[in-house]
Amino acid sequence: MLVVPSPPVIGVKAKELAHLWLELLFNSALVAFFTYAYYFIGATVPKTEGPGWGAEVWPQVILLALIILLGVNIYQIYRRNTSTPKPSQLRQTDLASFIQSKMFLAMASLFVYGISLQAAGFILSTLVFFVVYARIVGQKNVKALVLSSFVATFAVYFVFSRALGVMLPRGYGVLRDFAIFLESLL
Amino acid sequence: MFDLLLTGFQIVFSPGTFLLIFAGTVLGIIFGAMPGVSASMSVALAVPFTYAMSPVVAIAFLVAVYNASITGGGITAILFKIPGTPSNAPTTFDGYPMAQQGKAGKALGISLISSAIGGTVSAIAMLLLAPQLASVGLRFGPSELFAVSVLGLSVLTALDSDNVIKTLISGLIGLFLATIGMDPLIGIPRFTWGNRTLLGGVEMIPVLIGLFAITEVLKHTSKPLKLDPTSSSAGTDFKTKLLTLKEAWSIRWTVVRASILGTLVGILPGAGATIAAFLSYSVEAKISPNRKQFGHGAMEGIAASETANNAAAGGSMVPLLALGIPGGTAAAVMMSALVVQGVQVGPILHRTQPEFLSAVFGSMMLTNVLMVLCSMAIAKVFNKVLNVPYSILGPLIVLFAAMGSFALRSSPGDVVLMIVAGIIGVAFASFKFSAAALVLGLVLGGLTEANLRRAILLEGGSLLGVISKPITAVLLLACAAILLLPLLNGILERKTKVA
Repeated sequence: MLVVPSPPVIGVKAKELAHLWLELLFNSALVAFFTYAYYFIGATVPKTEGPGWGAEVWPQVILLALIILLGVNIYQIYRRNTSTPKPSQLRQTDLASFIQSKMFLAMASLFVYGISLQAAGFILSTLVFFVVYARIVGQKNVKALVLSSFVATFAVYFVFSRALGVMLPRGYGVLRDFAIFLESLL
Repeated sequence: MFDLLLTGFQIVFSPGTFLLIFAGTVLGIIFGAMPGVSASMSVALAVPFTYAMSPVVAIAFLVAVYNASITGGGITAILFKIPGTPSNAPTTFDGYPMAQQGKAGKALGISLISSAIGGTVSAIAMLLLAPQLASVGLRFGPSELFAVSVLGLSVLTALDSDNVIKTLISGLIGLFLATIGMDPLIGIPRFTWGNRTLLGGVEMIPVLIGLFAITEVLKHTSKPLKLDPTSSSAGTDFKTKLLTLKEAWSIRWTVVRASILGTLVGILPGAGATIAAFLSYSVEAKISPNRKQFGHGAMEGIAASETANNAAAGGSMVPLLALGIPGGTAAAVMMSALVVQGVQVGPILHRTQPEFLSAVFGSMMLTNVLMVLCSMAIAKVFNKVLNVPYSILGPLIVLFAAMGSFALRSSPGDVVLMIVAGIIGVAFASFKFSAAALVLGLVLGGLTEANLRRAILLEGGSLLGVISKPITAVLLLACAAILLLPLLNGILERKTKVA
């Protein structure tokens, strides 16, 4: 039985500060990435001769505008924060509660599902994913979990594989044999 | 004009297409009525079904889903005070009080008939206006088309006037994502980092599905949507009661005003059904003879909201079909579905393939009739449909979204792309960036760049030559005004507060 931990209770002020820090981090990461992209495109695309714009100019115009606007946004975030946030509060509060939150678990399960599709095949990975995700969202009835997982998986399988003719992933090795065995039963 | 009408009805009344439009209508009503499933999400989830259809049938099917989802959203707004889509929010103001007074059936009747009238008026307006706008568009050269694209992007920015900088950043991120892959003019790879999959660019459909479907599902993970079983209107069967002639006559001007207003707002690039519904409701709340009853179960309130949101849905198809500029996020999803099928969307579309306009018109007219009949049937069993808990509905949406993304190119990488887009969407929502602006930037990015660069090439490398062309200059000045207005308003408000 899966147990979803409750996030720690934190104060409103600390939460706001931590949110501001996360926002600053997010914006700073974007600035760093777009600055790198600006130089990357300049360095990797050959300069075009002739009257028109080269392949690198339009992306550079966009990236420059992005860097400037993100700078303005960072300044606005800084101004919005009247008290000085401390990085330690971020570690203690919002990040910890986020990692233990249902949303983070849902994101993680989604990511694992996306990656496992090719290796484990559609049917097996979907059966497991559905149970895990429904449990995270709050379904506690085991019978309902298993039944809905089977019904949903095979309904989607029929719609896409049989009705629309989409070749769904079957996985590798033993898992592939298992997927083919399951499909032969349908 | 008569040819267009005839072609439209020929397309939608062919048995296969008729069945698909019927299925799209039922799907749209159910999707739209489910809280947490917006109209854009409904269209995005329906896109995978179009891979096996011809482009003309695909657009007819998606239009049916879109229109029906907006109407379906009105059902939960009236019965449970939960708008199925954001554009149904004003319907709750008077629909729910009417349901509490024991007039749920009557409220549903007003909602359905108003939706059908709004949809029909906008369909006719679309048929009349789109060819004219397309013929104007055909006279546009690359520089004017570039300015039109920028106008589409800037109007969206102005609509979220509280977060202009963040909306601009979001739109620019969309434009940046559109530059990934092969350069549109000289075929040089950009930002591919040696990855062959990226040569084809960022696939729009997985990104759109991720931003509209996965983000919403993730947002509801912590607070799953739940209907209130104790509300007075829940737990009973609902039989839709159509309006009497006297009642219909009493709300005629509300419906006329809302149809016109909704269509006009829908035509504006970036504006959409939600703005149309709120605007129409607030206009009626001020000028209706029955305005004192607003908020307490006024028929005019429901009619204003539901007529306008359906009219806007039709209006948003005008710039899409005439100029290749989506009028809203749902239209952007439809545009990307057409692009995937290799359709060249833009002014030329109406000249080369007028059947697209005909099919959209025919589908809208047919959907308006079908959705009234289907909604009446579905409303009776609505409690059962809505009893599906979000813990089951959420992962089911994820499955459809994942397979929809996968089916595009049979690529598990697209599923991962969809998930990444969904997670980025959560960050965007948390930090008040605009996913809609990103989508519009992504959809319009290629067109904007290609037209600008062509225009510069034609002007011998002079950017000044491009922007000083009369129509281009006027359109770009309008963009500048639209962009600067909210900023100036903000500065003025701050100064007033200080004073």
